[in-house]
Amino acid sequence: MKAIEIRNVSKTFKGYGQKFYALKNVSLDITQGEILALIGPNGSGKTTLINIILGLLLPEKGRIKIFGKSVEDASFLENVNLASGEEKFHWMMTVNDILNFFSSVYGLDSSVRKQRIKELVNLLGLSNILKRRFDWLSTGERMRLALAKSLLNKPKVLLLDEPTLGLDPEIAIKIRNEIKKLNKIYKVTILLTSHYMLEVEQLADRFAFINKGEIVEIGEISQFKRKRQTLEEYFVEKVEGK
Amino acid sequence: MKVNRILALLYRDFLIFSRVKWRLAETFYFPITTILIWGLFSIFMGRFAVEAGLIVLVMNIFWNFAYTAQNTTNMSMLEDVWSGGFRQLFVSGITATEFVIARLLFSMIISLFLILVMSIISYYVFDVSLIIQKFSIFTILTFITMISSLALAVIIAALLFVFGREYGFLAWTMLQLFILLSAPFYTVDILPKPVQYISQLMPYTDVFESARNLITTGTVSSNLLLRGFVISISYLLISFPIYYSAFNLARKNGNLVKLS
Repeated sequence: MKAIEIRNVSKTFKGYGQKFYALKNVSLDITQGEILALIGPNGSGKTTLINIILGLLLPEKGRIKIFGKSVEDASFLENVNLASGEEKFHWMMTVNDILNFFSSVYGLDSSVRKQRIKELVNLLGLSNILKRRFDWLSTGERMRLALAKSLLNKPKVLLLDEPTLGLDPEIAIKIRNEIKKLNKIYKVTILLTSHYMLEVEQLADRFAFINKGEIVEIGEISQFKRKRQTLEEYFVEKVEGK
Repeated sequence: MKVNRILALLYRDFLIFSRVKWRLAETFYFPITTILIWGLFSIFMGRFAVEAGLIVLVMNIFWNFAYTAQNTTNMSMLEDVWSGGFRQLFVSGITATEFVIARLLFSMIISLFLILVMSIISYYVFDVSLIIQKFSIFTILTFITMISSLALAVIIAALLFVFGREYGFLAWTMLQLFILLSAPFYTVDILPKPVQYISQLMPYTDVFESARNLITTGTVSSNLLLRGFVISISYLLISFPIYYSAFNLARKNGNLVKLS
């Protein structure tokens, strides 16, 4: 079953008096339970595509469906969530406040809310920092909080935008393990963007390479093992246009 | 529109408001000290012209109330922008309507509490009995002022969506222009002729004129109150389509993402 269906999505922006394509006829399918990595150089259109999927940005052309539901209908967000490596929350709110606030937004009943928060706090090791304000959290703690928040509504689709950006290696490994766990335990479909090719190799089933707003190639991660090539080598080749 | 989302935003705004000290100071410290300053001025002026001092004091009550009702809405929005948590709100399914309605409700509660405090100070400290004697008119003027300020807040929110965060200063500057054109301490005929026409369309003009009449003659024309009410409601009715158009424009041109 298709979890995400992207068809002929185009988006242009104006810059320095000129119109340029941020996305050009992008089409992509992601199957339920799959982890697909969207890779490409800076400014290639990865985040633009994520913002369009989330309904924060309107495309000029094309359509997106999540489990058959168009993203034009805002109710699709009940099944979707986002965690980004650069995610921020209000600096005066504690971890507990943030999780409780979003639980209320998702309409979780008091008892369900407590249970869900407890579950996620344990899963992501947040119990010691529940009363800590957001501006006192380390980068790793912020990412774990963003992940916990993104799982409150038990999303069927999770968008992970650079989930280990700026993290120390040991914390990045932990986060990757959590992502794998989420995919296995909750069968969450994940669309991942990352600049760490090793991370993509470890996590993703498939990849889509995007450059200058166009999907250049969609493939399976296992193909690199067969070719004895690393994803990093492939990435450099593609960017350099070889 | 879901009530749980509005309540969640409302609770969150109270939580943040109670913890961010500069917002507490801005909302209560400045208006209260302003009322104390002009209250003392009205006592001093009482030796020369009782009404002049009273006009300045009462106008300041409405001015501060108008500012707080508008500013609180926009500051809540700006805090979301400044903290970087703006995107998360919309990603969680909060709609543009829920986003602004929660902020308007929050603003109403805070500003009504403020005008209550300012009225108590004026009554007990400066013996301004007018507020109690003409309570019903004072309430109507408060209502018109509040509606006008909330409408302005919605328009400013729309401008922020259109022009981006660098226009955040509108949150604390735009009302000043409206007050200037609404003739607070002077009558409309003091203004240059072309400006007088603009002044007649300002949402606070009738509030200020009514309050001045109340102080000087003890009566207020019902036509003036009705006109004020109609103008303020018109502003509110116009503000929402502007807000929705601006929100959609921000989704098209990427400003909604940039605000995050």
